[in-house]
Amino acid sequence: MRERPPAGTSRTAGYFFVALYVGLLLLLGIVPVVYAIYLALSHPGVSGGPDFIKTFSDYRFLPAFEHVIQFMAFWLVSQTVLVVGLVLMLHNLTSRVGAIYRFLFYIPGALAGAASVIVWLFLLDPSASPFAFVLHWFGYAQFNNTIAPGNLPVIFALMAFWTGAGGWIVVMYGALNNIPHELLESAQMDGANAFNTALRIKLPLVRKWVVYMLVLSFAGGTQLFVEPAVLGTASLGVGISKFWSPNQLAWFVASQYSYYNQAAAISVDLLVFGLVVAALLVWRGKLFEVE
Amino acid sequence: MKASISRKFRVLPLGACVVIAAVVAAGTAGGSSARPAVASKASAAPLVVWYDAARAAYVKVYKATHPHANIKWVLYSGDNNGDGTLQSKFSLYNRVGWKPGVSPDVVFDEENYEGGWLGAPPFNDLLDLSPYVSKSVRNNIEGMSLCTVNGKVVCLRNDNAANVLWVNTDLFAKFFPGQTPPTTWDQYASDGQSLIKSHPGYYIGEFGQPWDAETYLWGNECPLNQSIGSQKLLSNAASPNCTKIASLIDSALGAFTHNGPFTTAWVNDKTAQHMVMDVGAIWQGTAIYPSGSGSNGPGTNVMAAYPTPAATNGAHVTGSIGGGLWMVTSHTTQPKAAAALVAYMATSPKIQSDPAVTQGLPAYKPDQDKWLASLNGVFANPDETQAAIKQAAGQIWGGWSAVPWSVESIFGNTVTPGLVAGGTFTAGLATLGANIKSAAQSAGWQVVSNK
Amino acid sequence: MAIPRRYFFRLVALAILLVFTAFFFVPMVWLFLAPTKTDGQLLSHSPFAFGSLGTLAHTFHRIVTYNGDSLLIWLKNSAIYSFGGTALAILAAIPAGYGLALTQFIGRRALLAITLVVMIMPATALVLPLFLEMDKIGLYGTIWALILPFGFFPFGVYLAYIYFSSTIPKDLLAAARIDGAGEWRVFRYIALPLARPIVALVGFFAFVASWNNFFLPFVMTYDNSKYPLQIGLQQLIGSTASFNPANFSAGSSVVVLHRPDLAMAVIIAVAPVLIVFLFAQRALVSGMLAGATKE
Repeated sequence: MRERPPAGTSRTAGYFFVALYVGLLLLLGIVPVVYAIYLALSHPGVSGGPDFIKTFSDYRFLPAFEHVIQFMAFWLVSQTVLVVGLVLMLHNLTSRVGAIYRFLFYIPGALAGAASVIVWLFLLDPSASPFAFVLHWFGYAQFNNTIAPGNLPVIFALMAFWTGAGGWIVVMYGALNNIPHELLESAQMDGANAFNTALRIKLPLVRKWVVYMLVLSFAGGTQLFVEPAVLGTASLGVGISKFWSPNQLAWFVASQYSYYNQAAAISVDLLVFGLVVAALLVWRGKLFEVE
Repeated sequence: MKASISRKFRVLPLGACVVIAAVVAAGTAGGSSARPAVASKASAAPLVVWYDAARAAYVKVYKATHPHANIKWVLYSGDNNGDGTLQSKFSLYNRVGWKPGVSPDVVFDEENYEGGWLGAPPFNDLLDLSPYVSKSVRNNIEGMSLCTVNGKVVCLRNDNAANVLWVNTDLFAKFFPGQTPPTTWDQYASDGQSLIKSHPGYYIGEFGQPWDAETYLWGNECPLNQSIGSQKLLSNAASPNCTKIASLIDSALGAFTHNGPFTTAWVNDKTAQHMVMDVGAIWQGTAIYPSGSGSNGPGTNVMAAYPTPAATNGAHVTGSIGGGLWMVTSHTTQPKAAAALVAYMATSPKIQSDPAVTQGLPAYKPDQDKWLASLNGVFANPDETQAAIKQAAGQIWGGWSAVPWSVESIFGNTVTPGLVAGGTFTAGLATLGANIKSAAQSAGWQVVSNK
Repeated sequence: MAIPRRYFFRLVALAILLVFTAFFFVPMVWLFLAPTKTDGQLLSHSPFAFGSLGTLAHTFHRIVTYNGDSLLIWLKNSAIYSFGGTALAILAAIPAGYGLALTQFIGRRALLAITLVVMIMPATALVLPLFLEMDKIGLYGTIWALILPFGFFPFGVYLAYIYFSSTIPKDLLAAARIDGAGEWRVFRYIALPLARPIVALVGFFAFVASWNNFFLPFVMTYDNSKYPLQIGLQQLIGSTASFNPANFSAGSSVVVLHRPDLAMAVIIAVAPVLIVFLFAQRALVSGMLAGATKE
């Protein structure tokens, strides 16, 4: 619980400290959104109606949203389960050994976007991949089989997990390290084995970080653009269109038909969606300290 | 109370000042440079030419023959397979202004439909070349139907990518002794059926590539992508010109390989040595079939070119895959120089007749013989091969139009996955028709199924 | 005789860990070995085979000099955008986090809430509106169109807020203020010396986010020579034979890229971030954890 600063503290000094940030917030956060809304509202769409509605009736809109929802479902669930599981396992090892594992898991995080997709282009090709035996076990004889449309959400979830999991494991490991020893020792003396300790004591204490991870991953996931775009180009568009994700669709509409106003509308749709979820999480979820 | 407030806070917080100042300074500096310069200084700006990796040899020749030209050469992705780079960039420039010396004057485009995309509304970004390139030159370039949009000549074709039937003469003689390569698609399909029975693992063609429509439908006069007026599309997937060839191919599906010629599987499986026949563009044959390194090809003097089978309705036409376009943007401040460069690239024998520089048949007829002569040591039956190539070059059906969507892209997105999974061409045809219709309507076109 | 239960679970855990190690690390090994092989060797030999140093040198030279040293130009651009953006992000986020945590002013809680909301919202949904705005105010095509957005880092502000509100002892602040120290002095002499971990942390996140950002530079860069590495990498794919059929029609005298060249480009593109990662692991833990100590 935050205390009130003592009397005598300046009430205006705070403005000085936040000034640069507020300037950036206005310039790069508030103003663009307002401008986008203005553009979307002020220019009639191709059919004469408001652009917001036209967006939803575009034949590519719903599939794009479905794709991203599927991707996020796979990704968020598997990342949460696997990151938590792995970190609990690592915490049981000696710190030296654990550190080595953590480092190895964490390194792929340095690749992002186009770089990681290029690596995955090879990983997904049964003719070139170091994991060819896995692909063959699934029955994939060729690259085009691996990237069949039904597999795409899982593939992007794998890519996202590959680059993102390591960092979160490092963070949560640190959080676990902060659990007071006395707590763990007394649990052991009470007869709890490693499994129970993990479940009953460690897990609840990292709950906050799990939630942070979910929230931030959610934010990142809705923005999916680079991975489908680069995979689509390199795979000659087989099964992946240039408008596979909503973000791609917005860009496609803007650039392919010069309809910037319709793209502004799609952006506003995405923003509103993100805004509603974010607001819910902040106000109703009480997840973040706002004291 | 007031005493505790330091003097520093009486003025507007410094941070906000910094941001505002930076914006104003950058704005005034950036404002003038982001808008197009006045034409008076335009002649001092270099001519900006965008080219793709495969045209690097053209650039080399041009530099050698025009040492004093003031040109800025910019490598870009080539807009391969409709990746949309050009649309993205042109949209941006249309929005923020075209800038001499920065935005392109000349562009080489690998995506053949884009004359109709960038040269028509809402883009209208391509220069009409008819005043700059003489009619006699233009009439000697084949395939110009894709470059004629709303009566304007918006590009020049680079190479002629007509489809021919590539035949492995050794394998064909072995598997079909005493026969000649098929002259009808019925014969082609039945050859495939007998191959499945007698020699499984050998193929008469590729299937499941993004350009299957250009390979098999175009050459049968299938009215799937035919512009019949301004923003009016004739698209009828149920036409017999489309359905007949689809069912013929379906009857011999096992004789087609799913390994695309540019995939790792093609190389690893040595697919090139198992192709008894292959319908493909002229440049595909020269790229894939000689024993080029990494292609595991069947060796020299083995492959020969024959005319593709006659269309199912009897017409002697063929399709086309690729070929490239040379375009001049309508915003160029040096239209004469740009058009001259483009004409040079498309017609100069130093470029088009030299197989080390260009690996496809020149679209410009006068350059073709010399280029064809270079195939002598590469293919079997050289005289017949060259004759077949030349014949095909003049038979490209003109009913497949330049439009603001990429048929290859649509095919790859929506149909290829089904084919790769073992589906039929007939089913894929329906999907293709539906998706072309949606794409066209999204672009504001009217779609009809009868003329 | 059955394995004792304890050892059985240990074995299972070990197996799982090894599987994941392979998943995370094998691709990296493959990536670093790829440029030592030729294209043909890459496909035919084992993924873990080492080619030759000669091939490595050849590959390195080819990709770095490709198209007039494009890779180096892109590297330089990425450095400018990322360092500029990171510097701005630190400059703005650290004092802002401090102000939100340890000073009081009207609108403080509202600003914090707005920060959170913006932080969670998808940033790329802002890119097109940002583009339209930058164009309107005339900054489009300048480096500010990238550095300013990179410097706007609400996540950094929130991290700094958590950090300052939990690591600076309140009594120390109170004592200093009662003694008459102005706010600036309090910040400069009490908070800043303790702020090293959070500066490193915010800098790390800001740098990585800027370096790896694709969509914003994709929209905001006008001229090919201004591309950062991420965009450049995508361009290189179009020049690679195996991913662009048109390159097969290149005349025999043309240099066309192959898979090992692309792998080398990826290594060069991620090297700076990789180095930062190697050094940042410790800062990540200590910085993030400062916020947890008071739980």
